[in-house]
Amino acid sequence: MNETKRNSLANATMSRRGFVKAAAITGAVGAASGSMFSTSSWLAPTQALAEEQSEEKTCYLCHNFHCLGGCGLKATVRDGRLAKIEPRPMKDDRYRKICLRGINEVQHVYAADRLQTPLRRVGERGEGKFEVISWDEAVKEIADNVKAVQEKYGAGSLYVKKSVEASLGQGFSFVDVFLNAEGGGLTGLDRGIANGCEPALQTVNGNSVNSIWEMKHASTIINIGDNLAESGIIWTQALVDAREAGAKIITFDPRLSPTAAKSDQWVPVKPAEDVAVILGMAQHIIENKWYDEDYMKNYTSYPFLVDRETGELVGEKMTGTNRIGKKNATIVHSMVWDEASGTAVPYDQEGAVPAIEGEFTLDGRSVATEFTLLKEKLEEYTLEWAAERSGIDAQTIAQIADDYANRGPATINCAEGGPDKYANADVLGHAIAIIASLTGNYGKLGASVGFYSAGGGSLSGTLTAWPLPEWAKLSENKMRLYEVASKPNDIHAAITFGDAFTLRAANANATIDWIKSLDFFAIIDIYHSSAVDYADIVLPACSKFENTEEYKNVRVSQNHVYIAQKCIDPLFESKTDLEIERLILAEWGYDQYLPKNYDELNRKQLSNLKGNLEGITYENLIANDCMLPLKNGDNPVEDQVGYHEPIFKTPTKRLELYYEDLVDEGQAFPSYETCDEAYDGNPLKETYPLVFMQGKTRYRIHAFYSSSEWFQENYSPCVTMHPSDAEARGIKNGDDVLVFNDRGDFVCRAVLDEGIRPGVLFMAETTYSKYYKKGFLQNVTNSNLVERCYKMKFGPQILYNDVLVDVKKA
Amino acid sequence: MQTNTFKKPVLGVFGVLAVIGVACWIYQLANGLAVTGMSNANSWGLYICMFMLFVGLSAGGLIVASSAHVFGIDKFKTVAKPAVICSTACICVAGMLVLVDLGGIAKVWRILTGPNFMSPLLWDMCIITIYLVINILDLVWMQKGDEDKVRKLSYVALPVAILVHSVTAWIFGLQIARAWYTAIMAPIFVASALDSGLALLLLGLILLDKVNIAKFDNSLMASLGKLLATFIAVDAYFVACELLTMAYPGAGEAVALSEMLTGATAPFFWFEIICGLLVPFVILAITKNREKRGIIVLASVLVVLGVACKRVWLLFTSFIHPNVYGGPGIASGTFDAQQNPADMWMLLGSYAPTFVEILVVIGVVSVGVLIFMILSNKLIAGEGASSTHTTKTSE
Amino acid sequence: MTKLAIAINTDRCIGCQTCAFACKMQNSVPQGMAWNRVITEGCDHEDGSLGTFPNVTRTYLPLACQHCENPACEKVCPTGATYKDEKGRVEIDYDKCIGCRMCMAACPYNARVFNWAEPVRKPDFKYGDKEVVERERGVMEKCTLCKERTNRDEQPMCVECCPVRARVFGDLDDPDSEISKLKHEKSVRILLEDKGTRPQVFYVS
Repeated sequence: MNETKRNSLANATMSRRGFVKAAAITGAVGAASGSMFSTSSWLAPTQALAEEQSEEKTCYLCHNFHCLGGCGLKATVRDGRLAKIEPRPMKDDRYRKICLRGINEVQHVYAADRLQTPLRRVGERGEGKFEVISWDEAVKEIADNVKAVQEKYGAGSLYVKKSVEASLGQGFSFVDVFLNAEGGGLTGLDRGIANGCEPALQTVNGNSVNSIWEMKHASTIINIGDNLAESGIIWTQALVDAREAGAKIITFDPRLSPTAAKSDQWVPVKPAEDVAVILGMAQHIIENKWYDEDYMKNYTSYPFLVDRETGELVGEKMTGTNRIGKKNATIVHSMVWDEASGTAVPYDQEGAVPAIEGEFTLDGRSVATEFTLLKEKLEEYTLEWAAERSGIDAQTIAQIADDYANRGPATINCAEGGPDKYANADVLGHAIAIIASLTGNYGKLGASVGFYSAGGGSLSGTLTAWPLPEWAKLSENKMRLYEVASKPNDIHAAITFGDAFTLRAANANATIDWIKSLDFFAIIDIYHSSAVDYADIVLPACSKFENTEEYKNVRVSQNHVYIAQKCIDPLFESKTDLEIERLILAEWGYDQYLPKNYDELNRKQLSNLKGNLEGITYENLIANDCMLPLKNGDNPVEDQVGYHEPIFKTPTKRLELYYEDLVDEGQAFPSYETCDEAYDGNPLKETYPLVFMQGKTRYRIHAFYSSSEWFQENYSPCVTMHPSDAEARGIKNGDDVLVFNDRGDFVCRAVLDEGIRPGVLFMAETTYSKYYKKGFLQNVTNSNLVERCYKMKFGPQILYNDVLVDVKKA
Repeated sequence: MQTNTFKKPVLGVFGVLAVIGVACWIYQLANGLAVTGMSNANSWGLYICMFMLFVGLSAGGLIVASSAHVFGIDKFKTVAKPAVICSTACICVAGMLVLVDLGGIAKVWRILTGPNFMSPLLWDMCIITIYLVINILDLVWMQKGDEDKVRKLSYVALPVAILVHSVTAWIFGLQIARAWYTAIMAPIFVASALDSGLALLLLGLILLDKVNIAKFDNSLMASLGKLLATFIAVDAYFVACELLTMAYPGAGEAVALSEMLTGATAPFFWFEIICGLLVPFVILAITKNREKRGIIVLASVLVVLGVACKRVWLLFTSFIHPNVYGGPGIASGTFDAQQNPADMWMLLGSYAPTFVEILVVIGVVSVGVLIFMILSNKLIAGEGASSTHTTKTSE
Repeated sequence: MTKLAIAINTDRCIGCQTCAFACKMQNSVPQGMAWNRVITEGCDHEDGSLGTFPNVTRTYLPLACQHCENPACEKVCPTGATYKDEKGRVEIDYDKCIGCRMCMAACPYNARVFNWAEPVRKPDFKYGDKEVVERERGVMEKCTLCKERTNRDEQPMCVECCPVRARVFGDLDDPDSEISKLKHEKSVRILLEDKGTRPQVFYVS
């Protein structure tokens, strides 16, 4: 290895400016080896091009996969550089979209944090000392190490994860399946509320099945912890349109998020107590008979009979697909009490007049309707109780219940963030399903429930998959990433595309200890993200704007199919994902099974398309500037998707509110539970009195865009706190503060604001650790897992917000 | 009478300072105005502040000299020449300060090829040029002993002197964007010009007397001192009018007012009120004091410093609070902002001069001092001994 | 006559800063500068709140050159570098600007930014519109109402990119234009109306 080269990159932890300086000093070496060390020097040769000679071309592509926006972009490339990005024209103007994250790619693609060459670690893990190596060396080293680990511990001892920008959603993932690696199984990440509402409401991974554009038909819209205006920015138009059309927007959030600020009512609920408000609303709705009895009788399971003693649903047990999609499960052909005949009859018996309430004796057993049980259950959740738990006064809760039940069609937007990240999120999800089903606010135009930051329901379309040999599949272990640090496992090597570890696990110190214990860790990333410093081998990937071929990334997004046209050549020595996967798998001889290039993959993905994709071909996609609407794409999507009639995909075609499988957990109907850590009354609050919650900022998608030098002008890691909490600790606006608990700590800037509940700290996730003065926010977060959630569709969620800390001046 | 001149070593010191100033200005030309402490939130700094001061300082001289003729105050005629020299030096300094403040001095000819006659800055450049010409003509004719022309010129010079300060005031006073927007701005400028200019003239006269270039008797000093006290009172009166107008509505400009009274510019404001107006007025109001040169020097220095402070609070208070306020603020556009993204925004205007700026100002002022000394050497020294203009020095 | 203008619906604006970055990109605005910014009115930080918990409010206010009908900046410019053009836009002739910053002091909106130093661009090439002229050190710059785009009959980039359609661009001299109708139908807020600058950028709600 060239000694000078080694020195030049010996310390990757130096500041960016230091990095550029070092690059200048060793510029000659860099040039000689064909690697460039700063975007400035790399751009220099063509700098002098006269304006008149400049050549422009227009390229079309689909932007981010991870913010769930997927905007169609029109990029202008001048003299081989990305010069301008704007929204592409669309037939339905609502899809002509871009946000600041798309625009800033003009800088971000060229950011100083770009990984430029393959690197080999020379210092300790985490120290960030690397030397430049060649692609051949790097790939061989990855293969040698992975082979050694797999020989010793078996195929499943390799963990492979694709995350964030690198590859996700690009329609392929080869390294993991060909190496029979551990792929992480279900993540549970972002599915806390979905665990609770999906079985009843048949949402899709918590997403609303109705389109967000339908919101304009709603009279009341309740955002529960959702911050559309910063997460799914482009979708906020639907919310704003709805408000303009007269909808009342109510937002639950302990802080005045930009979405809360654009709402008619901000409900600054205590962290994790959204469930108390919803249960209080449910009780109030029942008490005032604001429920829709017809709807309940005909479209829900409320008249179904339940055995008082066992908690089991009354009816014939059968085998079928249950409401969370599990095949060959036991399902019950439920019974109702027919008031006409005074007997129990199957719910679907013609002419039956089901009793909505009542206690009956059936074959000597005491049975009651679900609704009767629910009423009993909810009795204790009075407005006063809810007010006490949530910090929202009883009158306000009653008013929200009134608005939800009586104002007309109402929609609940409960997101993947906020209350989703506490231990009682599934109870909240279930409680939301209860109020929706009581009031009939589900399965009607303008009345829906779910996550809307991906636009809600949209036309689906499945691309043709690249055929894999049968043996190419993931390990059976399904070890979740967030479990690896705390549960015994057999993983000894890891390859991640992007920063999986610091994004997908709480309590980062434990995760990092685990990473350090691995025999081998390689990372493929575009930027020098936090996890890079722990890797043994680093490979530079290119962004979606870069390609060696003309097209890549076929994708279905926002009711359209897109393909990404090449804008610029891969910068520095970076390569496309497909090239990288081919290079790695070539070490095993598996590259023969992979597409030779994107062209081959694109053609495969776009062949023999069916359903909404019928008629779309590679040729006509490209002829139409890389975008085609899905079938009927000319018609408004909101007319084509979602439940507009209350007939659902459950076995009974009704909303099934009673979770028989959770009788043992006491959650057949939602039972209030505190969260794991952040609740009032937790003795730990004496030591760590503040709740630490995270959310989105417009300047990030998770950690992505930390490198943007444009965004750095507006945003740096900061924690928002109420002035009273700050004053008690002698903290002033702009001070550096240490946020700490027993798990760890970090230092960032304090921002004092009246728009946050006293006792709560808010911080936007997340930023590369090098941009913090010390540590980073996942050092303090809670990695406990809720055991009961293993029984649920998505498994336990990560308790990112279920966290107590204290803060002091750094 | 034994006369003297300013010695070469003294000239040399100011010459060196002037050269340092020029060097700093060249540095500024090479790197841009970012080497100053100015920013997008506080777009004028020490240069314009000192420009305001020196336009004012140049006034006293010409007004006293012209009054001597216009109002027939004979005893003032003896100080006419040093007064005009002082005035000339100050207006040169003021003019240079405008030029060093320009971001694109190479394009300054654009003012000639495409002047916008609506611009107070254009008016000011014109009036300053006229003013300079009058000063020079005055000197030339005085030197030639052409009393008649000097007398006639005085009738022009007096209104022009008043106008030059008014126009400078209008650069600020016509800006609707700032707290400067007030009709009293011109009278305040004239009043400040009168007291600070006269104070500077007194200091100049005493200096010339001290180094034996010319001799002035105490009664002249006393009557000038009395005049100064009157000017101070007028100045104080206008300032009081402006403060009342700012304070009374309790809205809009109240923010700027509280910044002046208790905020960032308060030290300058209170120095001016107490040390620049109150103390010198009290001192000079006592007849006995006006006989003592030491006391006149003290009062004059205080007046000049007081007016300098007034320029500071007058200029900078208006930059502190943007009319449309909110986070993240104003993009500052400075070197810091370019280099450290976290330093991009300024919520409030703030300013501190850099060394470069200070040295440029010292350099420019040194040029002014040199002009004063050299013209004094050439035009005054030896006058008392002979009527020829030969500058005799007795070592 | 043509009087180009922008209306911003502050009820719709979500403070996302897209217009600010769209402007930076389109006009190759260098580091440390902004032609268009979105401030949180009255607060000392972005996304700040006015009032006391829980009774708080927030107003996002996108702020750029107001293209005043009676522009204070134009009058004070000694060389005529700042001028009102035939389409009603306030423009700067960079060749004529001598960097005296009279206009900067004159603008009540702090809409202008000055090239105090050699501009630094990241990435360090001229990004944005091909026709936009790069400004040199020592000259003033500001929102041009996307002169290059509006000359081509395109919307300004901030309007084009606004994800919630809070901005409307048009000709106030055309009574049938959407913007003219908005001005009459909606509640209109003029920034610093008492200054008499008569902005052609106005806020509706």
